[in-house]
Amino acid sequence: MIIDANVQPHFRYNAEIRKFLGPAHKLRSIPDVEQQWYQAPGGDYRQDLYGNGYPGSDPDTVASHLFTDGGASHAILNPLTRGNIADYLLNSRICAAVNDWLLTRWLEPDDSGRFLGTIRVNPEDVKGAVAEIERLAGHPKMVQVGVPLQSREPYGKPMFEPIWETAAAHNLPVAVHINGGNGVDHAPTFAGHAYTYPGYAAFMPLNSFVHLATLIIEGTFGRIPGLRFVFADGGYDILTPLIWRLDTFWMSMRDQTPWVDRYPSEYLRDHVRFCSSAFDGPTDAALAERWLDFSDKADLLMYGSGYPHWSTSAPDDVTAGLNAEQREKVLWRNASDLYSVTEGSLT
Amino acid sequence: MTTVEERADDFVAQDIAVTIVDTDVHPLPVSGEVLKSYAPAEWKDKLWPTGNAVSPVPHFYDTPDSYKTMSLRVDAAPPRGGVAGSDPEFAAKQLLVDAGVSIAMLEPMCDAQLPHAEHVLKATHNDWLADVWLGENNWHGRWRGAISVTAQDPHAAAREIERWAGHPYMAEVLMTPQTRGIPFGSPHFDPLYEAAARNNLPVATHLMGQTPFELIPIYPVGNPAHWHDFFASWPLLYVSHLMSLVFDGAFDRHPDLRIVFVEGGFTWAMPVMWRMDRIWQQRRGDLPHVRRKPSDYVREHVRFTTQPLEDVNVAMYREYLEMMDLGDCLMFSTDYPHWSYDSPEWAVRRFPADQRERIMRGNATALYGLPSTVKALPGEQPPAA
Repeated sequence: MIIDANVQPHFRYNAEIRKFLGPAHKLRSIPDVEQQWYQAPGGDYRQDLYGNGYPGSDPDTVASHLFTDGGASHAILNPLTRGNIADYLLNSRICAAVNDWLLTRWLEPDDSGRFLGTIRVNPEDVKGAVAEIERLAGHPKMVQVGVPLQSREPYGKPMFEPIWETAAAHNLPVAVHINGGNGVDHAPTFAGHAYTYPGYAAFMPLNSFVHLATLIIEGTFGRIPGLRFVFADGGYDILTPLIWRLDTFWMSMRDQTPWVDRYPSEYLRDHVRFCSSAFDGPTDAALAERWLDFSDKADLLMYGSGYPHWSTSAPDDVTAGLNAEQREKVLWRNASDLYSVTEGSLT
Repeated sequence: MTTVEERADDFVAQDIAVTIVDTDVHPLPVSGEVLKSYAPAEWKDKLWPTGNAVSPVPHFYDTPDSYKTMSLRVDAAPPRGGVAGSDPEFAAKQLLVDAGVSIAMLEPMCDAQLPHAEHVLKATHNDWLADVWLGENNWHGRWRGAISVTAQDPHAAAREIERWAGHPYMAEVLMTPQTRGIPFGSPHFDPLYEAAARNNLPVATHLMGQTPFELIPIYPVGNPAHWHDFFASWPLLYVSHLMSLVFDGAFDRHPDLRIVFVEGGFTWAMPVMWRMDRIWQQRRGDLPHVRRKPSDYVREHVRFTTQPLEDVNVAMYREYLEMMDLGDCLMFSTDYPHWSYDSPEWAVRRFPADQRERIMRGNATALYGLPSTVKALPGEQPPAA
């Protein structure tokens, strides 16, 4: 069994989103998905998928690639929105349009039950995000809430907490994923803007650690026991060194944050998951098994293809070198537990 | 009686073997007035604008009890007065004699707003360091110094490097990693790198949390509120600079450039090297100027100092370092006299046995061209064989 926990479905063409917007927003300026500073030269998506509609835009083609060719039994669809655009109310309407499109084009026509969905919300509009979760949380195929990795404040800051409370109240994990489009963001590296696409792409997922560290240290996980975050761009290979560092300095500084009553690493198992990526893991597969055991990452990692991104990874690539138990956890068991998806729910 | 502070007239220093090199020690001027005495006359009243503030250093992202400790070891305050790290004789007793460090690299920390003012401030620190620490007080040859340069004006930095090149105890160049949005691989820094490489001086960089917020990098997803989530994430600044150095071709432009990342961790290097290698393999068309595998550049051009070691299970930690196999690139450091000091005996057993000699001594002596023996200090016992 394989569950693909990270798939990005796309509109057939960028302007299709306007069909799902009301009259007040239909004619607003909205960035294309790939209209971002750091697009991959040649396009962000698999070159063989461009041409006949947008990559990842035809449910039958996607199903054939993921389920027939890839062997997955389920796919968690997490569509991109269009960036942290300055007009946060417009952004919230875009998120709602993406959600309506996902239901209309992907989830409701799918009788097989293999496609599961994400409620995209805009964290810069907290009330709007809470309302959007409330609007759609009851839909049986919506299995998580989705927010961008890009943010001008880390997600542990208190202004976001009503969103996380609402997600947890509905038993929905929160998936963090690098967004498309174009918005008002800080430079993507700690040293400023990257000069090359690889310089951007290699670093960007590592920013998830800042969200994670603040969610622990601000006490968000401590206050919301049911809250679970999924970092869907990978970056888990930086987890061990940095969570060790957080453990070490929490010990020295814990009087400043007395609500963190245990080592930061002790929050990981109950609250944190990562999706696999093509940029994580040892280049020597002989090290993979031991590497995954540092910080018990086998319990945190879920296979995610990233389809249709150019770096789409296959199950065998992600699990190269792992032992049978690790492989089972990564390919389906961790996702099955998180999303309550079982073999039986296929029918 | 012969002590470090007062040598008897008949004291004859013995030669002892260099066994431990400490690559991160912070000297401080005993007072602002002393430092000012090394500044050009026209700058004396311009470099230290105090306004009405009474606290000497703004301690944002504050360390434990920082109003009282200033991030310094409370037991490192010299008995004769002054702040920790301001008395070369007492520092020699505490760090060299008592802790057993053979040679220590002195890295003063300072910043200023305007590029030229910062250049003058750095040059002033260099003159002070050369006189107070690397002059008569270095009769034993146990101190080495860093040439502080401004990253804002790399041409001025290059001139400052040339001014000190050839000094017997100035052993590296020191620039801030808090470069206000310019990654290390940028051609902006080429004059600085050229001058350092031409003079066979490594370029060390040291992060500093106790700076005004204006000098704290903007984290890409916003800045944490507390010191521990801030500091645990901060190695990502070095990751950003390292990726830039490799992907933006700095090591191809400067084949003799050596970079030392100080106090920013190093266990991240293994996954970051994998990550760079993976993306380089897959996107070589985007990086025609990067001719070698990224991890090869790291092993050849980059060194990391060890403090603060992550305080985790020792056996697991050693296993991690064995897997990382970066024993040629790590250099021991204490961060004396700062609060998060790692002592040599605490640190050494955390390294795999076959990497210890390289980390504690060998890598630093090779990088900095250090001797194999130094003068023993009064009261110092030669290390047991």
